[in-house]
Amino acid sequence: MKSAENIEKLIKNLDWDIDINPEKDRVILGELSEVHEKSKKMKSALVEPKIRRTIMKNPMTKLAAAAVIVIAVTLGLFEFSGTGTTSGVVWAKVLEKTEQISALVYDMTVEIDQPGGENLVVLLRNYVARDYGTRADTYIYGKLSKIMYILPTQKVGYRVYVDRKTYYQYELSDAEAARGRDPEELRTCLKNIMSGGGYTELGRAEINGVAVEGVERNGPDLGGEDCFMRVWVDVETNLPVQIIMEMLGKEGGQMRQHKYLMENFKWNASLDEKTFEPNIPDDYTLMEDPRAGRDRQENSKTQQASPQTLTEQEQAEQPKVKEAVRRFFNAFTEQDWDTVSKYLPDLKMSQRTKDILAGLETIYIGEPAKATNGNKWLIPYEIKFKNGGSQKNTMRLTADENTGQFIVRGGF
Amino acid sequence: MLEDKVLIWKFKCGSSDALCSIYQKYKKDLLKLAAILLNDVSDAEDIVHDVFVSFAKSAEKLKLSGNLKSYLLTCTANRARNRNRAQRQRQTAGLDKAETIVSNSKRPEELSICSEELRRWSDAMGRLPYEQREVVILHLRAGMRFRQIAKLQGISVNTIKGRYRYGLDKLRSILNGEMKK
Repeated sequence: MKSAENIEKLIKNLDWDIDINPEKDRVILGELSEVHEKSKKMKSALVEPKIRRTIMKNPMTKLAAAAVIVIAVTLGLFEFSGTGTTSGVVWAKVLEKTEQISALVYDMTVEIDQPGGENLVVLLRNYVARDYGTRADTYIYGKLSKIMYILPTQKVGYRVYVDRKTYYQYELSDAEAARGRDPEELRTCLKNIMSGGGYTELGRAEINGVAVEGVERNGPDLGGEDCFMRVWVDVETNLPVQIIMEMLGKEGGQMRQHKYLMENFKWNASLDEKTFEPNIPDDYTLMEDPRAGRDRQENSKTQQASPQTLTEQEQAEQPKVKEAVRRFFNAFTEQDWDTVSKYLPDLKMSQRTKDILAGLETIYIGEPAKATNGNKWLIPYEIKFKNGGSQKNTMRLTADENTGQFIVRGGF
Repeated sequence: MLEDKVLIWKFKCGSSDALCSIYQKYKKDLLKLAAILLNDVSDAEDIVHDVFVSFAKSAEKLKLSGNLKSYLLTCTANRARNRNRAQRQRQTAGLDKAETIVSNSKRPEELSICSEELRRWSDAMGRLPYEQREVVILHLRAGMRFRQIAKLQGISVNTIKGRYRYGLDKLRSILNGEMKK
């Protein structure tokens, strides 16, 4: 007699070795490739303009930023050192190994959730060399779309739009130049990212036939509430094999899920200077650097709003305006968000923004001047963020007619 | 799991190799499920073919919240159910006899060499009502929970549990009856 339990066990364990008829197998595989190719072509034709618009709207997209973080993560695994004695990966050795890396090549797939379910997917092949800089070739649905160069020795960057046969070049700031070649900068970045600790060991797995061990963690200190990161390291070489990151990021004015997959790492790749020489064909058109364009527009606005001679009443008000700016920045320093919201009543700040702005330091507040158009005060200032970055700009301030409370207009 | 995530990303990015890898990795699981549900390997091969062709077309829209294997098994179960329904309708329409004469279908045991046990199981399974067979197989062979099966079929968990219990009882009675003979 067979009981119900026995029957359950027997069904579960029934060893049934069948496979698809080889002829049919061949037909299916052929058909799959054909269908997939057709589907890709249709998709490419339908979706590409939308993608192009998205990318054009975001010339300094998160892709580049992500690449920086990713390399940082890649080159900064020393924070994982000491993950236990049972592990096959000696995490401290990962640090040693990555410190010796002077050049690498890797692929990155970026997927960004789009409204309507049609995700933006971009593939980047990245080349990084301590001596020369970085280069990222961007592919959309298998087609080379854009090449980005950052050449720190020349303090210049290039964006070459292959699909539009256009390009522009731009000057690198000192910070940008440092990010383009110096892994130490990236390690510092990672140190900040990883300082929260608390990761989970994933044990051993296999990726493309390579035995790996991994760790993962998430948390706001990684880059947002929903940021998640997973790193797999080759147990033989102690070098990363795959890195996965997921995070919420702003795209087109909305918070969207971004996924990054880094793989196919070639550590200490043999890269020569030619890889980093922008090879721009003669028929490509040189465009204006968008940043320079924006600066020009800003200057024009500033000229329109140039300061006018102050009346006696306005001169009397000047110290109050300066004091308001001081209090405004001080509220960030002390993380007094109630006070901040009085100055920025229309802005709802995310936790991530608060994290970035908390503890900022006021370097300089200039003399307030009155704009010729409207009733705005213009106050030059310089602030320093806790991550070391700084910002120099002019703030616009108006007084509320009813309450007299100063309000910051147009952000800062 | 991780490997699947990578494969899906590559597939969504346009890699035909990734699609072929997914097919090679899961075709047997899908075939076994379809064959045991339909009690016909030829039909099962067609189901696997249809599932993967549809999957190949879906790269653009595909959004997986669970794991890839479960997703493919669910697609297979859905298609097997539709095919079973269509066959029933044809039987009702009196086409079955004509089909039987020209049918070149293969029972699962025909593909195994001298598997007496498999033959008995195949027979016993074939005698279960499709709804009960589906629940038993999805739960025991595909590892799906009753709640998942209920969601898949759009009916209550209690009905699924009932079908499972009746299915097992009937299987037991069939197999024990055979033993008595």
